[in-house]
Amino acid sequence: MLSIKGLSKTFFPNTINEVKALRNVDLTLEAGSFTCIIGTNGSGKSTLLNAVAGTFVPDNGVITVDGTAIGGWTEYQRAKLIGRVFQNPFAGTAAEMSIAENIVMAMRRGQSRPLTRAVTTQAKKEIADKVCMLKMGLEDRLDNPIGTLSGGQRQALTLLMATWLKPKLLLLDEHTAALDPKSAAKVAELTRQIIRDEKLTALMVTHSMQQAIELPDRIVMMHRGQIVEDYQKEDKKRIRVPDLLDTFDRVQKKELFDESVMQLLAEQYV
Amino acid sequence: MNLIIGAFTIGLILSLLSVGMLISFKMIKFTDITVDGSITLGASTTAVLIMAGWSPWLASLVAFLAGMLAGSLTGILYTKFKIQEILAGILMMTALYSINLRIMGRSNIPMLDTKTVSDMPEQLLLQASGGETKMLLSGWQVSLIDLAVFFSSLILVVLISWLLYRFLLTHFGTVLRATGNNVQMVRAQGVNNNKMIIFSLALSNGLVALSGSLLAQYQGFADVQMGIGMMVWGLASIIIGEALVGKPGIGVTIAGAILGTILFRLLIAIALRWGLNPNDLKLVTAAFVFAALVAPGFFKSYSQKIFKSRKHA
Amino acid sequence: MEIHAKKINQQLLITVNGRLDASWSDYFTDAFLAFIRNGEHQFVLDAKALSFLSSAGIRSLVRITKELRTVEGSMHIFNATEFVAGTLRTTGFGDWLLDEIPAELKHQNLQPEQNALPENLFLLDKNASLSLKTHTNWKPWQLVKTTDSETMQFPADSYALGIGSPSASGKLFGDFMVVGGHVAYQSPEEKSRPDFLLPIEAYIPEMEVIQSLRTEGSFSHLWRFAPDADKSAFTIAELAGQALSLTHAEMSAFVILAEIDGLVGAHLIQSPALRQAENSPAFPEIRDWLSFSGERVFVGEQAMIFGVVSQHNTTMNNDLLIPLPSMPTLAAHLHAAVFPYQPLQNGELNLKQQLDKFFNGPPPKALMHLIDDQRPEAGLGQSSLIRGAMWCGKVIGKENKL
Ligand SMILES: Nc1ncnc2c1ncn2[C@@H]1O[C@H](COP(=O)(O)OP(=O)(O)O)[C@@H](O)[C@H]1O
Ligand SMILES: [Mg+2]
Repeated sequence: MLSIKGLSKTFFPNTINEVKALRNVDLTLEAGSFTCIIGTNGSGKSTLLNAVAGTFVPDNGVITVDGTAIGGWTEYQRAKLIGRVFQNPFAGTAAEMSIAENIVMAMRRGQSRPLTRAVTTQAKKEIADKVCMLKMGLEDRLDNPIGTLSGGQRQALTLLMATWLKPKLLLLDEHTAALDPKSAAKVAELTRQIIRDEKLTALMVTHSMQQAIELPDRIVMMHRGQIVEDYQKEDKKRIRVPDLLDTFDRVQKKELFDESVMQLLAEQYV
Repeated sequence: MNLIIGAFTIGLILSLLSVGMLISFKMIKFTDITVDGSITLGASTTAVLIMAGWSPWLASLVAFLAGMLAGSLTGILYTKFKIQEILAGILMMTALYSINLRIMGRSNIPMLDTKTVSDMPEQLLLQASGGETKMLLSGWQVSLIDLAVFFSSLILVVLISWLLYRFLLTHFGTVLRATGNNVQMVRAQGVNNNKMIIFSLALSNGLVALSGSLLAQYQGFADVQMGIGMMVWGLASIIIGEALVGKPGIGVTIAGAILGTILFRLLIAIALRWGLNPNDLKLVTAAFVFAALVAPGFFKSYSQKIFKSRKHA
Repeated sequence: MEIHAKKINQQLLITVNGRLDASWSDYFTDAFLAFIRNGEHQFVLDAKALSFLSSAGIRSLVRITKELRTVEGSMHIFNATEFVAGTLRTTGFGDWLLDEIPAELKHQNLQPEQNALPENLFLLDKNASLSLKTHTNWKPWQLVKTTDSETMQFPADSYALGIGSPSASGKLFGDFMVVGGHVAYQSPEEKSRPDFLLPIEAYIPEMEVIQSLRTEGSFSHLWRFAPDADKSAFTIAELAGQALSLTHAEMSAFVILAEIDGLVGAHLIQSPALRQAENSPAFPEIRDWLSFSGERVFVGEQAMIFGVVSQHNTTMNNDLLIPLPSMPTLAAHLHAAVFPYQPLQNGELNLKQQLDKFFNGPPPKALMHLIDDQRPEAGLGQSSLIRGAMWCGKVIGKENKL
């Protein structure tokens, strides 16, 4: 479904602030698979998602969705294929507009915007039916500005909006990180439910090891702009939180292994 | 009484300016200074075309389109050339000053004895009154011509506002409003936010130019200086409107802007009557907007105070 | 809740003030476990001011008693209030209660707290010694030839370290150590934990070895070391030096069981048998062959170390004994296995019993070759240990080169 080949991005190249945010990343997601990306802060997880979503132009690499190379597409053109939920609960919805208006916009994601009335009685009914599923009592508040809702409620709605029209690819960037633990758990559960029921292909960045173990079919670990681990299928089933932490440790240990260590080991070991 | 009707009429005409600015300032949250130029643009094109014998209706339409063109150019400067919004507006406004002079060929055009869009209602009213040019309205002598102009402006403003209201409720209009709220979200919904901004500025400046066109027809002249300070006047009207109606739905907001403009004109008329030097008008307006900007809670708390004391009484 | 501790002779008198219920039981347990860790094994609990004891509190006491049982310690309660004593009796723990205040506490002639336990030295068998066999056919990083490896059996009196592979595993050569016939082996993979081979019934563990220092025999001395006011931890160089001086030998072998202050080490993460090129791997490729701890690791866990140390100038030296940068008069080679922390009983310990206990308990977490990291600036120092036991013995006889 998603195929990334040789993706690279350097911010501020050839300056002292140079950051190699992505280094030659290859990643292929099968249709209907759910993958989590974990990694230390600044390891390039968001940059990878943003590259797929088209927020910036990568230096190198080919991205195809469902066989179509989307490298030349703008961010809003890609939105036809890609649903997104951001870390900031306020980023995915228009605060001053009502719940219904927000959702109505998502109901035509990537489609034309005709000059017909947006929030019709029928649309509202359809919205109420689906919003009911969140069990947050929002179906009675469809005309309230979405800015009056809590972060958790907004994030749940953003998720609903991103998947209202089945996207070819769903991108979630730490979308539970800014929520209180209870809301985070609820949104995580909702994520799992929607992805499973709609059989979505999803790529999710998470800071929570627990989520990475429980939710996806596959875990990819990034470090310094590279994919350093990839747990799929059997490996994924076997792995537990301490294993992930060990892996983090190992990856960081490798960082500390420099040439002076090589010298040291040559003298005292093999 | 004539003074009041005059203030109402100018208020109605200028409410198109406020409503246009509502789109740029409030809907897409774009501080658009083009306004000062495009209102004059509307006046100058209309004056030239009417003087050339065009139908006033057609001349108003062309003024509207000219305003749209100016607005979209500002939008293009901002989106395609990444020029800051204020600077893009200043560039456009400055350019329009010369363009307006070019259009008119001199700094002002008087339009005596020309046709205006209120000609037809005037005829109708005159026929209805059997040739009388004055009538008594609750003890006041009122010029029928003034009344005709007032009613035609009223009908036009109500019609345009209603159309705008309906438009903002469509799928397209909804996305337009969201653009000022959260650009990231709009892009994530597959909308070209730059196009939305260009279109909104076009629509906004089109309405502003139309307002300028009607103003020229009402005043009977177009002047290259007439746009100066109009943006601040519009802003003042919007602020008053907001204070009047609060911040509920779009319909009420539009109505608020219209009422705000009219109230503002009335206040000015009264102030002038009391002897305010017209040269100080812009200073007073600027001071008012300044006060409203630095004390956003001012009107709200004031109205609450009134409300509370009533409750207690 | 307040907990006060006072050392009186061999006992630790604990005074508790407050309620021992669900909200305080974890705190209470942790405090006790810390005492046990510090080597206190005999407790008397003055419960005069303990106003309440809930079942969570009892669970906490049971947990402490269990922990004490493994080190043959004890805990008794006196001065208990009616309520506390009643609760303990009805729940069947009445035998913890002392009817009267223990004699030594009666006069309250409390001695000043003693922190440092005396260093305990035990002579196990003054004639004991070990023989050495060195296997150095494989030299790093040559290609591994079939003639480099030798299949070795490790009976119960063998102690060894080196690089090898369990016979059944093919050529997965990784770091291993043998203590009393128990083999711990780190398979050369980044992710895996150490494996072990235990001598069960007639089975004698067997390894295919390409490099080893192997000793057979028994140890003459046992030294129980513990920190005191001036010394908070013991480095491996100090311990190795102590082994040599205790055994008055040119070369000694030793086994250490101790709480870790920090280990520095490395291990193979790819079998040398997989190497295609004759030269040693360059940087950064070397990172795929060796893993370095990168910091002082496994603080607070229990280390089981086997090492061989020699005077630098002895004729018995060989390639596998490497001069210690922090004590250049010594050459040594040490491998350490890391187990989850378990307290050790005070006094004289039987090595065999301890090995059985550790190898039959929770599995080892890691196995590494210890490094004395004296790099300027970045150096992590030597591995060091807090308290524990070291068995050591003289290594005799000319080595038999194979
Ligand atoms: N737009 C940007 N401009 C400059 N540097 C950026 C930008 N986006 C990300 N970076 C840098 O790239 C690196 C990777 O960032 P990011 O992908 O956000 O990491 P994370 O894995 O925490 O999501 C960081 O060092 C960050 O500072
Ligand atoms: Mg991120």
